Amino acid sequence: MSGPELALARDEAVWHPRLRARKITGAVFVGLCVCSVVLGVAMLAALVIDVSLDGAARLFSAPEFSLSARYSGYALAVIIVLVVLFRVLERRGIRIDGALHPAGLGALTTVGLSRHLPFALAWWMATTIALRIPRALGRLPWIVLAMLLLTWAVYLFLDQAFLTSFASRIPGRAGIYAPLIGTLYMMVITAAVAFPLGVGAAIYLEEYARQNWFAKMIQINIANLAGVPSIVYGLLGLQLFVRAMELDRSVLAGALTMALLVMPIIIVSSQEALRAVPPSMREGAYALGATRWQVVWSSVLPFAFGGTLTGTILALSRAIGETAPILVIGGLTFIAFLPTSPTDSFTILPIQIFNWVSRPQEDFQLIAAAGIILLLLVLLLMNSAAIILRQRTRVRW
Amino acid sequence: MAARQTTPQPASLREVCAALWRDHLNPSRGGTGRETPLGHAVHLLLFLSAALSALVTVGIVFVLIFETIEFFGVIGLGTFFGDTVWSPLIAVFNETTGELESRFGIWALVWGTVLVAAIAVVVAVPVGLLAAIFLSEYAPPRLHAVLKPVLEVLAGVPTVVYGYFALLFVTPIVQDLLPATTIFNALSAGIVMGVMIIPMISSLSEDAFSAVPQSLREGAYAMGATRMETALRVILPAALSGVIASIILATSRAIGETMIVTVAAGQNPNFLASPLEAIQTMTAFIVQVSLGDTPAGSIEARTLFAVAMTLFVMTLAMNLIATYVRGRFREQYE
Repeated sequence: MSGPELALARDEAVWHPRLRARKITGAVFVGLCVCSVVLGVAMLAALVIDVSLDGAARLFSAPEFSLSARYSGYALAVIIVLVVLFRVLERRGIRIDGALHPAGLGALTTVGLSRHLPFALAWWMATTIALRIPRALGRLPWIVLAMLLLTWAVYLFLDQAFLTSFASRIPGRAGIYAPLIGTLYMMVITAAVAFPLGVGAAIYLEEYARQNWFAKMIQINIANLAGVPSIVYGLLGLQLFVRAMELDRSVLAGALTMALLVMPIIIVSSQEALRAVPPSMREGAYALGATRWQVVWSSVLPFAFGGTLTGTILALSRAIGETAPILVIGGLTFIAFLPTSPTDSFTILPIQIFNWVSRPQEDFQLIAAAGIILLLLVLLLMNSAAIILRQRTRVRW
Repeated sequence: MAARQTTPQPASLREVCAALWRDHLNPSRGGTGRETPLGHAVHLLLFLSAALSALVTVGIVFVLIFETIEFFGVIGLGTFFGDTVWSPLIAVFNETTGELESRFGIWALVWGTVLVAAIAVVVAVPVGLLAAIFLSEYAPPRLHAVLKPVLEVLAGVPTVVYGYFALLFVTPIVQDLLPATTIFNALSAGIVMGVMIIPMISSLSEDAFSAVPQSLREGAYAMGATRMETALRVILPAALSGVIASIILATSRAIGETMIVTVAAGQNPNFLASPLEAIQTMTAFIVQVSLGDTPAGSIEARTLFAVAMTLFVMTLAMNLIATYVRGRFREQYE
C-alpha cells in the first residue's frame, strides 16, 4: 500500500465512520468561520487599497526638500540620536531631568529657525515628555513619538496645493481647504457643546438619580436615541436650528445638530466610565463629610475623566464621518471662502467627498478618493489618540 | 436591581416635581444629606442636561408629527399607503384617472429600502454570526485581541466612503458577473451595506456568546460533543435572544443608512424593482429633496417629513423589538 492509502486505512481503523464524519464537518465549519473573518478583514483591505490607489496620486506628492524641510530632517535625526542616548544613560542609572532638556533644546534651536515652527514645538514637547515620563509606562512614550513621526512624515508628503485650494470646477485645481477648516470649526463647537452636556447627563444618571421611573425612562430614551437614523437628526436640526432659531445654514446650526447626534454616545460611554469607579471611593469621601457634589468632583470624576474623554473622542470620530444630517440642514457644497464666525455657511469633508463622488467625470472621483484618504487619516489619528488615552488613564482597582 | 422591577406610574407634573425634589434632598448613595447652594445649582444643571436627551426625543417626534399631519391634511392616508408610484416632484401619468399628476405611493420607497436592507442582512448575518462564533469559541486570546478591533473598524468607516466603494469598486465587479446590472443598483449598495453591519452583528452576538457560562461548554464537551456541535447546539441556542437582538438592530441600522444608497443605489423609486436595477430608498429621497431647492412649507417639502416619519417609526419599532427580545427571551444563568 502506498502512503496515502496507508494513512486512509489507519484513519479508518481509528475513527468510526460516523465519528470521522463529525470530525470532518467540524473542520469544514471552522474553515467557514475563518473564511468569514477573513472576508471581513479582506473587505476592509480592499476598501483601503482601492481608495489609496485612486487618491494617493492627488493627495501626495514628492516633497520638494526645501531648506526648512531639510532642517527638519536634520533635527529629526539629532533628536532620535539624543533620545536614544539619554535612554541608554538612564538605563545605566544616570538620570537627566529638568524642563529644558538638552534634546528638546536641540530640537527647538534647529527646527525653530525654519518655518516648521509648530512641528518644532511639537517635537520639543514630545521629546521632553517622552524623556520625563516614568519608565513604568513602558512603550507609551515611544508610541507617541512614532505617531508624531508618522504625522510629520505624512505632512511632508501631502500635496500642499490640494490642502490649501478651494473647490473648483476644474479637477486639477480643486482643493479641500474650505471643507477641512469647516470640519475643524464644526467639530470644535460640537465638542464644546456635547462634552459638558453628555458628561453632565451621565453624572446625573449615575451619581444623582435614583432608580425611579424618570431615570429609567431617560435610560431607555438614550438607548433609543442612539438607534435613530442620523438623517432624522438632520430634519430636527433643519426645523429647530435652521428655521425656528433662525440660525440659517450656519456652522452653529450644523454643530448643534451634530452635538445632539453624538450626545447619546457620550452619555453611554461616560456612564460606563463612572460605573467603573468603585463605590468605596465615594463612601470614603462621604465618610469624611463631603457633600454629594464634593464627592463627585473630587473622588469620582478624576478617575472617570479618562474614560469620558476617550468616549468623547470616539463619538467625535463618528461625527466627523457623518454626512446625512449636514446634507439635510444644507451644508453647502461649493464654498470658496472660510467660515470666520459661527453664523457663516460652511461645508465639511464628507459633503465635499459626496459632491465629488456624485459627479460623472472620473477626475473628480479621483479627487474624492484623495479626500477620503485625508478623512481616513484624521479618523486613524483620532482613534489612536483614544486608544492611547485609554491605556494612559486606565486605573487598576 | 430589585428597584428596577417596580415602576410607579407618573401622575401630575406637580407630583413629579415633588418626587424629584424629595430624591434630591434624600441622597440615595449613602450621602449625608447636606448640600451647599453650589451643590443644589450643580444638581439642577446636571438634571437639565439629562432631561435634554428626553427633550431631543420629544423634539424629533414633535417636528415629524407636526409636518406629517399637515402633509396628510392634503394628501390623505389612502393615497399614501394605497399607491405604488412615488413621484412627488414630477407629475407622471396616472392610469386610473388618466391625468398627469404627482403620485405619493410610499410603497415604492419602502420597497427600495427593504430590498437593500434585505440584501445587507443576507450578506451580514452568515458572515457576522460565523465570525462571532470564531471569535468567541475558536480564536486564541491573542488573535481575538487583534481581530475584534480590526472588524470593528468596519463599523467606523464613514458611510460616504462606503458609498464610493460601492459605486466604483463593487458595482464594476457586479457588472462583470451579471451584465444586466445598471450603474446604480440595489445589489452592490446592499452588499456594501452588509459589510458595514457585519461588525454590529459579530460584536453584539459575540458578547451574547461570551455571556454563556463556561459550565455549559464543559458539560457539552463532557458528553462527547465536538466544538462545532457545542457551538451550534448549546451556545447558539443559549445566546439566541442576544443574537436575534443584534440582527434586528443591524437591520434597523441598514434601514436608516443614507449615504451608501444615495451614492450607489440611484434615485428611481420603483416598486418591485429587481436588485440589479436602480431603486430609491426613503433616506435617499430625503437627501434628494434636501439638495434641491423646494420652498419650505410646500407639499413637496412636507413629503420629506412624511417619509422621515415612516422611517422613524420603522427603526423605532425595530429598536424596541430588539430591546424586548433581549430582555424577554434571555436565558438566565447564575
